[in-house]
Amino acid sequence: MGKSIRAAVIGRTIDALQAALYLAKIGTQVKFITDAPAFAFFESSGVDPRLFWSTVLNAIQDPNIEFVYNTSTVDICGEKGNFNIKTTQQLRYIDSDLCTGCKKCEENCSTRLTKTSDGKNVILNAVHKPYPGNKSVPSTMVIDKNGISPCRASCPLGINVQGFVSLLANNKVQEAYDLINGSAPLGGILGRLCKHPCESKCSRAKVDSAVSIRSLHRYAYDNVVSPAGKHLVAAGPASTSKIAIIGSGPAGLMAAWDLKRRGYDPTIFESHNVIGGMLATGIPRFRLSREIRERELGQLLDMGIKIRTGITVGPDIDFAYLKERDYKAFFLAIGASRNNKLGIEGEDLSGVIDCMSFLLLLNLTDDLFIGSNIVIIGDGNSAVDSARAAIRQNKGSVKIVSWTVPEELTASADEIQEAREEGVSIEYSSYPVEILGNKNKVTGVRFCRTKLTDELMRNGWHRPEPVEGTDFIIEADHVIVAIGQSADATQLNLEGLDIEKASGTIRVNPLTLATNLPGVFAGGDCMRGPNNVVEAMADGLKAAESIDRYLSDSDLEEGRQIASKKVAEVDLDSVWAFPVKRAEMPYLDMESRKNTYEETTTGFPAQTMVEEAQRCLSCALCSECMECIKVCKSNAIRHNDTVRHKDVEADVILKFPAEDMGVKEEGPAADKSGVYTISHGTDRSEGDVNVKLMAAVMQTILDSDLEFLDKLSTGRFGCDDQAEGSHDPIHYLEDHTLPESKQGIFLCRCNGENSSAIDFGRLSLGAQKLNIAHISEIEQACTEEGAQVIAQRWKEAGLDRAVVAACRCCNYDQICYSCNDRRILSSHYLRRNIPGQSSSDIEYVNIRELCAWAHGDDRQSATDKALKILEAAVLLPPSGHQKYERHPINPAALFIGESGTAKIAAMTLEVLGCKLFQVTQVPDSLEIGGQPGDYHVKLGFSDRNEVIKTGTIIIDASLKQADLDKLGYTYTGRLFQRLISGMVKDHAGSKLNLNKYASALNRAGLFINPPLTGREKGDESAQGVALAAAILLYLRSNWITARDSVAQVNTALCRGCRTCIERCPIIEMREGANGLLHSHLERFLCMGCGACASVCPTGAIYLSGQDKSRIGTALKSFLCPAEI
Amino acid sequence: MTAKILIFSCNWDGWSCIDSAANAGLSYPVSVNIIKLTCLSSLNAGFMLKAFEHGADGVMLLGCQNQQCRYGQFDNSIEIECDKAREIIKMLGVKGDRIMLARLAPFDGRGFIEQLNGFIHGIKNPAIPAGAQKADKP
Repeated sequence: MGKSIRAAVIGRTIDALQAALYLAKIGTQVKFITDAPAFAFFESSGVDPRLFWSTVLNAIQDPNIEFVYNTSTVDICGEKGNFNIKTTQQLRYIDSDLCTGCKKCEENCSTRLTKTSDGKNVILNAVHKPYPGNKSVPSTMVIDKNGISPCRASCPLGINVQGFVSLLANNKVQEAYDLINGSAPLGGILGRLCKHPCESKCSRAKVDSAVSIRSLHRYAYDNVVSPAGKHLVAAGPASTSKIAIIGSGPAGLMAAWDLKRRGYDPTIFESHNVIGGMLATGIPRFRLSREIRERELGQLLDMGIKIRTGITVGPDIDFAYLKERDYKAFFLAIGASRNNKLGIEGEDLSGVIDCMSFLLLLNLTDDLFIGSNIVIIGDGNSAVDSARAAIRQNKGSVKIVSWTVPEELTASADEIQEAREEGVSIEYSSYPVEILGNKNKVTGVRFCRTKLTDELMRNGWHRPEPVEGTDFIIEADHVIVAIGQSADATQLNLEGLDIEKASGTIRVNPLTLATNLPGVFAGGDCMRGPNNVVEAMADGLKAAESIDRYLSDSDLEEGRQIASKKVAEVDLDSVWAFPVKRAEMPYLDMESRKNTYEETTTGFPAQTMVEEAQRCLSCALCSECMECIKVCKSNAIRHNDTVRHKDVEADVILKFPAEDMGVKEEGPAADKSGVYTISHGTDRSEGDVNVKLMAAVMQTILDSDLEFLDKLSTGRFGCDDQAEGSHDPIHYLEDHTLPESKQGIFLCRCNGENSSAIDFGRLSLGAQKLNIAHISEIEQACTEEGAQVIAQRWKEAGLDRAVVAACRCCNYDQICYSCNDRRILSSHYLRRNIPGQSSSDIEYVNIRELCAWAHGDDRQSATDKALKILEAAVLLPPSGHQKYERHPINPAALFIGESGTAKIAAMTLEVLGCKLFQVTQVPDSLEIGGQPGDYHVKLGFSDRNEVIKTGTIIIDASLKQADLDKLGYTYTGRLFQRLISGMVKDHAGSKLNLNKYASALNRAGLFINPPLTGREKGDESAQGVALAAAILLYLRSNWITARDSVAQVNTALCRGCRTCIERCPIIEMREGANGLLHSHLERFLCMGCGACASVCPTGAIYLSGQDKSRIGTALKSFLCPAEI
Repeated sequence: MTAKILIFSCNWDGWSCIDSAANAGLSYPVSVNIIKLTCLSSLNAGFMLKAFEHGADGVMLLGCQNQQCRYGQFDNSIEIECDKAREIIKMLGVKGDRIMLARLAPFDGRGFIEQLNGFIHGIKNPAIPAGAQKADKP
């Protein structure tokens, strides 16, 4: 047996699919590469939806076709017989094998996107069906992503900003709180003090102004219901190594928190008596209330972090002392608390104070005296804080004196605004020259004016320089010097520590925060110089990671280079955004503000919060809030997938340009040998004539070289390889009398889709009265796992039969075009997991579409309906499907008649290795015996008689009626009549089509030529090739198999009235053993429509699955259900 | 009280309409029950009468449009059977419009709901006259 040909079909159209299906059915291994995420039907395609869906559904379950969705072809390398197709797959972030398309994730998704679909603006969730509002196969969901949002990318702590904002937009406060805590705690503090780099990068500014992210952050913390969370749980001991953290500011606390979560036992040494570092000593209470600070720091300490306050490492205890006590790692986070001096006359006068000392005094003392005329030198946040603190203490004049212009102040604009409102005045462009005093007591400050130079300072502003001769004096009885702080790491007395001389900061490796001393790390302001709380916290986390690696002997640097994910850019043209004003933070009224040290801002009200959060443009599309993960019962979501480049190998490539591309790629000329572009432009008004397509595909095969044809011809003709047949045969039990059958019911919850619309409790109670042996719920019946659960319970309960109430509608082995992939899979998995069962042992009933969806708004009704459906299914007699029966197809073709097309078809088949019989002379008598797939044709000529055994018979359409009449009123004769008349009437029968009208004709192996209708004369060669293709397709199926639900004639009851013959061409009269005529029904051709049974006056015809007792039982159950 | 309707639907175009209606979120009264058949040609008047016997107020037959049968059953046998059944229920004093044959294009969920609602509204007085209905509760 030769190796199968590997074909790649590239395209997304129905023609591409049909070609793939055709190739698969003649034994080719097909890779179907499509840039579409799934198949969906669109009216505009002009295709018959029935043809479309049956093609799709047949194709997806053909074992010879492998689908590669969402994939574009980048390049085709190699040559005929050995192609290597380079592809790029757009990720859907969902495991297609596991996703059942239940849409729970979509219901729980917090991100709404605007998208254009079919020219309309639609709002959809970040996770959605590939074609919203349209059935798609496979039914897998897809997540839209676009890198990571700028806000998230800019957060030093790596907080998923877009994630928590999207949660808040859905008023999911607790979820937002938990999501933030996954990255960092202390949200109440960050929500007030963070310098919010996220807002500076916010894309919303392009529409109006940035989203008020910091205030939203604060909202989540101020309004959360249960603040305890996973983030506050310390892990079990990972190590006994002791870790010393010097400083309890944001950096030290974060390191301690993270280490605690990693199972370490850190100890913090703090020189003050309060913890929090600058948070406690340098931030006035009206910006960060004591309650918030104590609550949030307290939560962390409650994790069991050890604190030693009032101990200054350096002067009080030294490192040698700590090392002796087994401290193995150190994190230096002592901050930058040394005040910068003005370096001018009078700085030591009484009444001159530095701002840190002032704020510390203010935070720790209740009745601090300050004079009535206060000058603050400096324009940073500490200066503004000091001014605002002073004005609360004193009703006199409080003036900030800045050396630069109003546009270039260091303090944040909103703080300056607040200070102004509270009565603080600001003097600009003034440079202190001398502090004046009288008897050691300050009286004023002499300034001179400044002008800006072109030199830029580190903060990006212009450096001002004093202008001579512009001196002036501002009177003051207190002067607060607030021109910044700097680090002073020398106080640690740590020998050998590498310290930057000029700034007093500690030198570290910026990736790991490791100092030059092993086991010693440093971060926060003592490493960076004065900075914001958020940077310090980020350092703490970084240090914890390093210490963890250091103590577990791992490489400090490996894998820590921040992965550069694409930062999302919003395409404003595709976003549907109207300008909406940024929400203003509400303040206390002015009177209460001036007289209190309490927080001046009150936080957003709920409504404002939601509206503000909804301003987010969702730059990264999916916000990765992870709400979908919580509801996905199949664990199908893969947020971390990365772009895949895959190589697909193939011997031959068929490309189908998309029809809607407008420009048709012209012919195979541009392609290399072995790559065929097929754009045959099927005229859709013709219905679905696929003769042309089949001819094109076949021609492609013929165009290939001989080695290739060899492979094809040594392929699967004949039946010797059927043991390993690709189609999994269904096993039917012969004897189906089960008088004492133990029956069970399995209810599919459909991940909540069914169980929320239907009262499963009442359903179970009701169903138990039906004398069943077992009833239980399963999460999803259409997964392998679901099938395994059913199989397990089936075995435990010793069941013989069961009703599976899910979304599948029947237990037939057929594919209806209204079916879908999940229904197909559910029976596939069950068959695989419950071996040896007859297909009629499981009754499938659809409670999803028929109950949960049709009556979803009325739980009572939906439950009533489901109960009726269940009752009917339980009471139904077994469908009594037929025993699985098949016989081989004789791989030969008999041509009767003489025409050009027949010659071409015969030649083609010969090349493909098919056995041929050609009878050019019309015989005098013609009798077709045997059975479908193995006909014994008796040909009578004047001089001889011949018997030919063949699987297929092809006659010329030009044969005279008299010749056909020789076949008589047998089924073959009548099928040929149908074929010929079909050509004239132009209805479905004549069309060589893979799927549509699964009529007896397709199974009979009878063909006429030419295969095209009269209208399409001309291309004799194409018609011949197409005919060969159709014959090959039939022969390659190798076996003819009877369907599971077919009609049977009880010859004892048949009185030979011929009524049924009028309804169906596959019935003929035969003489029985008793010499009487009775109906004979060719079961291999029966499609099970039941038309014969309904007209049989004696009830001699029985249609399994649909006999009178089953319909009658269903009728009764529906119309007069037992009182259950 | 909504009329009790029994629908015999063919497995192909008929069922695709019902399935599409559910997929489009269209609802119909809960008193409507559906029995799926392979093809309407497998139905004879007897089953329609059986439905009335068991208390149906109306019987709807849902199938494909002319010349669209998947099995090639292109004769109008179902119409003949419908007429037969109508004649018989008329004899019992029930109007023939209690039996409706709806032939719809595939996947026409909306059309199905419209036809069904029209049918239900047309049944003015759901109660079948006494005597025509046999008590047959199990």
